[in-house]
Amino acid sequence: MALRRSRGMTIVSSAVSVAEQLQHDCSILLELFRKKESFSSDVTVADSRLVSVQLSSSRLDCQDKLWCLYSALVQCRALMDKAISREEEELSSGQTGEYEKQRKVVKDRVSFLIAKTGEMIKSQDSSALITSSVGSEVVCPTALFELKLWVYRVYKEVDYWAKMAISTFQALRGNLSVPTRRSRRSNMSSRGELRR
Amino acid sequence: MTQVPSLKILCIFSPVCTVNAYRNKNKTFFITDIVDTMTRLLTVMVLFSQVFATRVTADKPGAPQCEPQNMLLSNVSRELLVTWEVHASCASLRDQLIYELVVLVEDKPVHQEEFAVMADHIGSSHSWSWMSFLPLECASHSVQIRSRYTNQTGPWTTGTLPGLEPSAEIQVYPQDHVFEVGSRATFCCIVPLGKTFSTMFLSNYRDAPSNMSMVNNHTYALTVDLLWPTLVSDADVKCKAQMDEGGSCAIVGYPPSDTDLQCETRDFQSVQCFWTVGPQIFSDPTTYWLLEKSCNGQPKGKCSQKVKVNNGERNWTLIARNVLGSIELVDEADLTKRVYMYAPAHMTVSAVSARNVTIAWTWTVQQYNLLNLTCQINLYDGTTNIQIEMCDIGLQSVVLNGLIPNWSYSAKVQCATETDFWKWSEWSKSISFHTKGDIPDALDVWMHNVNHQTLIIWKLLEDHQSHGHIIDYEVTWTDLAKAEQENKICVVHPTHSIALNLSTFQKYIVKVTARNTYGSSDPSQIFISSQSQDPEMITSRINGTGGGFSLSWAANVTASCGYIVDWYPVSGNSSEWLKVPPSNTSATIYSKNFKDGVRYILSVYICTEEAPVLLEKREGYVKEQRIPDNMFNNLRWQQHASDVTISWDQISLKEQSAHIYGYVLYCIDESTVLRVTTDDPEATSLTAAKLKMYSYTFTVHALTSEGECGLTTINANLSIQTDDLVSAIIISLVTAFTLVLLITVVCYRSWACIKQKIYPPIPEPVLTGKWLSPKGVVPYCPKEELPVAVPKLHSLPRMSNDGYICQRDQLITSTKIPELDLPLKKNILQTSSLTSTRLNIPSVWVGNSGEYYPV
Repeated sequence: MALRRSRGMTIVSSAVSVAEQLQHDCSILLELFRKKESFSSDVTVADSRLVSVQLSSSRLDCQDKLWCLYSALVQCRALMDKAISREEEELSSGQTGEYEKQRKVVKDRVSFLIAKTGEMIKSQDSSALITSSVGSEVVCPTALFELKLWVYRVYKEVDYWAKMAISTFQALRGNLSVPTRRSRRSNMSSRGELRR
Repeated sequence: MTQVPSLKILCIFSPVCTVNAYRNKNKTFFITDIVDTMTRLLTVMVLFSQVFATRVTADKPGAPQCEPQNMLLSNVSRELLVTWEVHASCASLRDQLIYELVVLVEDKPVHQEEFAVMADHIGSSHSWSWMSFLPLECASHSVQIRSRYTNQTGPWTTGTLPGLEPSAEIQVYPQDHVFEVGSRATFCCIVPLGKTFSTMFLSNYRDAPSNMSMVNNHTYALTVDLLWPTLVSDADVKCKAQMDEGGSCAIVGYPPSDTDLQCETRDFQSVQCFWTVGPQIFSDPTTYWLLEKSCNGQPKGKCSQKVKVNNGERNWTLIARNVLGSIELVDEADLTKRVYMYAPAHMTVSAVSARNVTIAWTWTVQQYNLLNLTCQINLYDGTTNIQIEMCDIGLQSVVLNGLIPNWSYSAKVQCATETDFWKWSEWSKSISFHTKGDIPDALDVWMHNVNHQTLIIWKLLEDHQSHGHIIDYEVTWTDLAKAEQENKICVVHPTHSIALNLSTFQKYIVKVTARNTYGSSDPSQIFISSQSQDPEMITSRINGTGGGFSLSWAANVTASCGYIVDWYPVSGNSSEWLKVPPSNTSATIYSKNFKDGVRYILSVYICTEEAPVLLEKREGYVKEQRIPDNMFNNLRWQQHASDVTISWDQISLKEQSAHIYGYVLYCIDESTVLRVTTDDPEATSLTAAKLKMYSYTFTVHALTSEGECGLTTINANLSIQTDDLVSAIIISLVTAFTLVLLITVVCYRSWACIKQKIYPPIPEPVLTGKWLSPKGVVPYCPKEELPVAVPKLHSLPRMSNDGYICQRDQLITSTKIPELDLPLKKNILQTSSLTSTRLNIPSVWVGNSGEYYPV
């Protein structure tokens, strides 16, 4: 049991690092996109979320939250795939610059975080069946300017879910560390009982 | 066959057919003037217009029968399209019918035009289109039409296409439109109700002149002069209303401007064309059509299509299209004269011998067999490429001659049509082969005299000369006086010299052959005689150039087989040589063994039927180097009084890394430097004179073209030498003694004068009268008081400083006193006596050997 917990801690710590790196990469990507499209930092995009997953409910337990996070990240990756393909079709000059490289980094990092999250779900429930497909096809605007704003929203969405991942994983790490202390106390008390 | 995209805008019976384009997703539609397509699209247009068109009302009824009926306004690809019908009775009109049209934007007239309908077209539907400066979504566009026939005008019929109403979000129009560089574009922003317009601008674009205007209460327009293309990104029109932001993308580019179409064929079954690609519109590249077939998917600037190529000229047409327009490029050519052949295939090698080989190939296109072809064979021997050209009809093989035996080659072939040459084909794949071995080439033999021996040397055969593995060499020499006696010796490879003890008084012939697994080479021979020995010939200097030596010499008629230049370092026994043909009298020598700072002896020999004869001899450096310090061996000094001689051993040529032109000696004491030089390169000493008795540092340098070098230093303390001191004392004493003696003699001889001067006689009182008896007193008789005769001049006089006249050695004056005939014994010496008198007569000097003595 202790070994399993220890392994879980290792996975969580690793996932936190990946999520933090994703958030960092995403902030760079947003900056590069704003620079590329001459968007000001206060560019207004629709407030509504592109990813339809509710994670903030207090009634969700850790495992549920992981599942929600996993689902959200899978949607984020689908959004990024769509955003990249539409950009390539409509807005690309055929050159591969810093922006395009960073875009790929973020996409790969999202995939990695998905894998990490799946690993954590499996570590909590080995019978969990994990899939990484998105149910419906992503729809995006056809007008170019709207498409640009939508791409920006996608990146903001990834940024948001990177932050959510960090907070979720940190909370999970806290939960994992508590039973360890309890377990130690429990062992000590049992020894005491034996002495008696 | 791919169809040309169908057109979208229809101009029915209109004298003007406006070209327009719009962008919809990824597809671009163009207008063409294909009539049958127009008819088909009319139906589409009518259906389309029914959706968007607004029904119009006539101002007043009762006008002529040809007034517009069922007038419809619609937005078709940003154009305002007006369609109307005419009553059937109008068909009876015989003259042309005029329609007057007035366009109003937001109820303000902005355009008017007359539209003429010819008599034979009257009675059917009509349409008219107009491109508004403002996107049709931005404001209401109204059109008023009335008919006019033979000065009779009908009532105005008005139709209106309303602009878009404000929505919850900012709307910007036109959306994603492609503009031509240099055009003026107007964008509008429709602000949501209740929001206040903030700003509207073009971003992601270079500075462009722009103008803002208000169209109505909630619509604003931005007019921009688009002077630059958007190359790597589109431009954005952004509109802000308080916190809301909306926008649209604008792409600016050029219509196609491709040039230089050129077509050719490779197989007579297809045509391949090339052209220079013009600027492309960002994210909407130009599409191409060759022979009305799409070139989609083919490399940029290149397109090929299947077509049977026949004799004769014809037009090869390429159409380039983009959203802004299209161009047609035509190349008129007979492609049977423009054959760009495929490379020869299936290369094979056969009949390989030591020096010949056959290379063959096949053609992938059967027609090539009938063409008169020229082929280039590129033969690579590992270091150089040799190209051979051959011509023939359907050429498929060549025989290569003159190859190097036992050598690896690779060959490749390219061909082209001989008649109507167009261009070379690509090179075929390379094919490699190795020739068979052969006997070695003849050796290059020379001789060099070392220590009274004759060294026979030959150059090792290089790979391309040995034609196989060299085993050994055979050297034979024969005294020509005893031709029957042949001496022979075998020298194992890689040794390539042998020393022979040959008599200097005999003539010999030496032959050398090389042997490999295929046999022995032809013998190379050299005559040896006393003529070959280096006589005492004056050696002149030579300067190296570019890492070698450039030599030239006077032609010699006896040079039947040319000249031989040989060279060797003064410090070594190895010799190298170069054989020069008789026609040349100069040579430039390079050797990997040349070293800077080494003196080489270069000799030019005349190559004759017999022994070589030395023509001239030179010595020099490839490049002179500074002679290192401390070159002077056994540097020593020797003092001679105040002179010091610095000596050194003769400097050997081996130690001289540069020509020495002389030497310089620096004598340095605490405060001064004395420089002594000589121009004699053979000198072994230098003398510095008149040095003081100090401590000196003597530095000797050799003078070379590299400056003063070879510095060697010696220190010396100069002192007064004992012998010199003794000599000086003796000389001083002798001088002093002689001086004293001379003074004594002079004083003795001039005693009278001296006495007269120092101790003059005291005159006795003069007594007159009888009390003084003349007999009792011998009167003192000074000479001056004696009657003196005038001296006789015998020689040049010189006045003494003191006015005395002196006599030296002999008396040269005679004095006679007739009145007083007394002897002068008392006052005048017989010989060597000095007579002194104070006479006011000129002094006289007698000269003898440049010295003058007072007389």
